Amino acid sequence: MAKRFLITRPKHDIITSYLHDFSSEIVRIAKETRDMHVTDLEGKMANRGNLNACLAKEHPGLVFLNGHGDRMRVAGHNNEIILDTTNINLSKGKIIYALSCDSLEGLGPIAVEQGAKAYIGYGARFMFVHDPTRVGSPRKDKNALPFRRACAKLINSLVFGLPVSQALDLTKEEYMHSIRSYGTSEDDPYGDAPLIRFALAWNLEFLSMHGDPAASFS
Amino acid sequence: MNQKQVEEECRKLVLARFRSLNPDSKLLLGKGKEMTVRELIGHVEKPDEFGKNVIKVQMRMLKVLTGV
Repeated sequence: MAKRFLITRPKHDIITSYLHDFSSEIVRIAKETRDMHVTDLEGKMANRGNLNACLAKEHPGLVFLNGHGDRMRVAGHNNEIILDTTNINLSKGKIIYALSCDSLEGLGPIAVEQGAKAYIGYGARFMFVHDPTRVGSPRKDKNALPFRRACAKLINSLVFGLPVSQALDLTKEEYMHSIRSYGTSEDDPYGDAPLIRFALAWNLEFLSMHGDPAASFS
Repeated sequence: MNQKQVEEECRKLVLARFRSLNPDSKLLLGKGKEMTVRELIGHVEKPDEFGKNVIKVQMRMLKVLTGV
């Protein structure tokens, strides 16, 4: 039986465009992986109706939400609230990874109470630093590269079946590696390295989970 | 040195580090918001709750950098 992976990735402003780009590689890889079914709610498809329908009918084992958020809500296209306390029951039996601000501490425990296997996210604002001259081409933005790597490490680890706790450990190692190694003259032409290291350390501090650390995507 | 003095020294250290940066450099946050280094410094100077977290994270970052 195919493993089912659901992703929402709006792309309506600078931040969501970067998150959209961060997730592009795992979407490509997952779609090429045998025995894996990918539902890609991209751009304006990342709306509440589509998310509800997919959660209820497709029963994905892993749900990756990209977008803005706060303690009790995660948003999709044009900041429509797509996950909150009124539909969090649809997370039952699933691993949820919200790459958004704040939702871990509010929505996370409620998701687990309602039956989610695990809820991974950030307990404060997710931060990154970009090069304003690269807004039109996030993939070429060297400032965003260490953030892309950390986000990729986590979702890649989850997609390929590592337990949630191990995926988090690997991601935290990636953050620490970037903090230590970022900032040579080659990759820091504008002197942004100290601020980039701060944002990496911030994300390292506030990335965590609720639920079963041994849960894995199946 | 008591705990309060240690916290004040940490705050001064973090301020010194941020003041060495371009004050107009920006962090991207959620909800389409940005925060300049100048604004970060303002949070640490007070320090408000956000500023206290900034100090905590900067001190952790220094530990990562120094391998402590």
